[in-house]
Amino acid sequence: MKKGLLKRIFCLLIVATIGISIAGCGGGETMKRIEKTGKLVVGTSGDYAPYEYHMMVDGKDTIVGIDISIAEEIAKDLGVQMEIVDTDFNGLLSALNTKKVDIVIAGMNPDEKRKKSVDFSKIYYEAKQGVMVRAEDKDKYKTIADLKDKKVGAQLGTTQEKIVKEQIEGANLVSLGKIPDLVMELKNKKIDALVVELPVANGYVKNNNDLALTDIPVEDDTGGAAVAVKKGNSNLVEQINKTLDRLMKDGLIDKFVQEANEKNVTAE
Amino acid sequence: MDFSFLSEYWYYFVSGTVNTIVIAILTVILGVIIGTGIALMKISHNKILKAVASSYIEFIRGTPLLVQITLFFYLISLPKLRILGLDLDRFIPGVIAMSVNSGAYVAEIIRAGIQAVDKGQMEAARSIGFTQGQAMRYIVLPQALRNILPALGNEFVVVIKESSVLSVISISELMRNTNIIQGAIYRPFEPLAVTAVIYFILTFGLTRLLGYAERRMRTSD
Repeated sequence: MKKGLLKRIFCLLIVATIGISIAGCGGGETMKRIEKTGKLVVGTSGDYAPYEYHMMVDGKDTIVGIDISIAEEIAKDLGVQMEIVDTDFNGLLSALNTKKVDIVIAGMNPDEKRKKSVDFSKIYYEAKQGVMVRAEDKDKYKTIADLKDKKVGAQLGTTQEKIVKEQIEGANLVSLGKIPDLVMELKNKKIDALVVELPVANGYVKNNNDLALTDIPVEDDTGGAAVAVKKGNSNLVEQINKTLDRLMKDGLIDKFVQEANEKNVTAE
Repeated sequence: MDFSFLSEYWYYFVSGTVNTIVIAILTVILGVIIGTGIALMKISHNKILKAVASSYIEFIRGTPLLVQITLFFYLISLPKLRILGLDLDRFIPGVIAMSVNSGAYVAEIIRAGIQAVDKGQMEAARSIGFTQGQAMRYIVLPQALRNILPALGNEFVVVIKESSVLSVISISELMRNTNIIQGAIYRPFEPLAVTAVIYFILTFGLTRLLGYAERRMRTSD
């Protein structure tokens, strides 16, 4: 009996997988859908300040941040309304491929692996990476060699993880899903350093006296953050690139970064 | 320690707490319905029903809730619906997964409660002409209820705490909202401390309430 049940569950799983892959086929239709519904559905992961985070605006729960300001501009140029879907970072690309969202903007680096499953716009923001440590240890870590054999944290499945693996010799990588959890580990001396994007690191250092940023240079070849769209929607990518070109030419992206950082400092 | 963020982010704690309570209540109601059915199947004389109930209980108790929730989330695909700030396409699979899980535990609680009722009660009922079903409904179950309630209350407390696992599928219950605040204010510890206190108030309040209900029941003996 138990075997029968397992078999049925297994069959159900297979059917579901096939269903999802069929739903994922076909391309070029995102633009049509946007035009038809008059709505740009933006997928993001609202726990990554200053790129995107929740805030009360006029008594209402709102997602704000650098990426959201950019998405607004994209929707404006397309002449449609914007709707935000807030979900886990891990689930963003599958949401894109199952048409739950039209574009994904979440400080996402267009690395080779991701490029295989989705298309990316041009890079709109080149975030530099930094190494964050406890304030009392700041003098201990001057070069990347000082991190040898130390426990270094990075967010699970991100570019930073790759940096720790490739650039820090003999480092023990600790990967966790969420930056706040990693920061907690750093504060509690469970890890010794944390590789994180500079805009994010700056926020933490500003809000926490016991954290500091080192001057250790970190190289990053993936280049920065880009907007993801479902494969085969080159017309939409073109539109997005046009908007990004305009924003970069007018220096608006730097303004968004600055705005997000100012808005976001709550403590002290 | 700096709790100044509360003035700006209190809303997330409130809405998260409300959602957690709603999830827990729905889960317990659905869990009791599923559990009663499974328990009756398990004590029935029909071999097939018995086997189905047993495998359900064994399978659910033998796999982690986290696995079940993620599995249900991918199996149940719903169109995007939003009511009162809740994403129903996430909320419904989440609550179903929680209820299916809770149902297995509730089934064992109820079965134990029914079996704790003296056999003579059923025999006596049958001998004065009740059918098996009637005897169960009017004689055995009401008595079993008294045995069941304390353990059922305990299950409610467990469900409140376990619902924090739903944060993995981004349901905006208390734990997910805590993650949101942690990310937004760049301070990981303080929001977590507030959340711990809220969970404790919820479960402690419920325990006291259950203790009161139990005392009232005992005095009615």
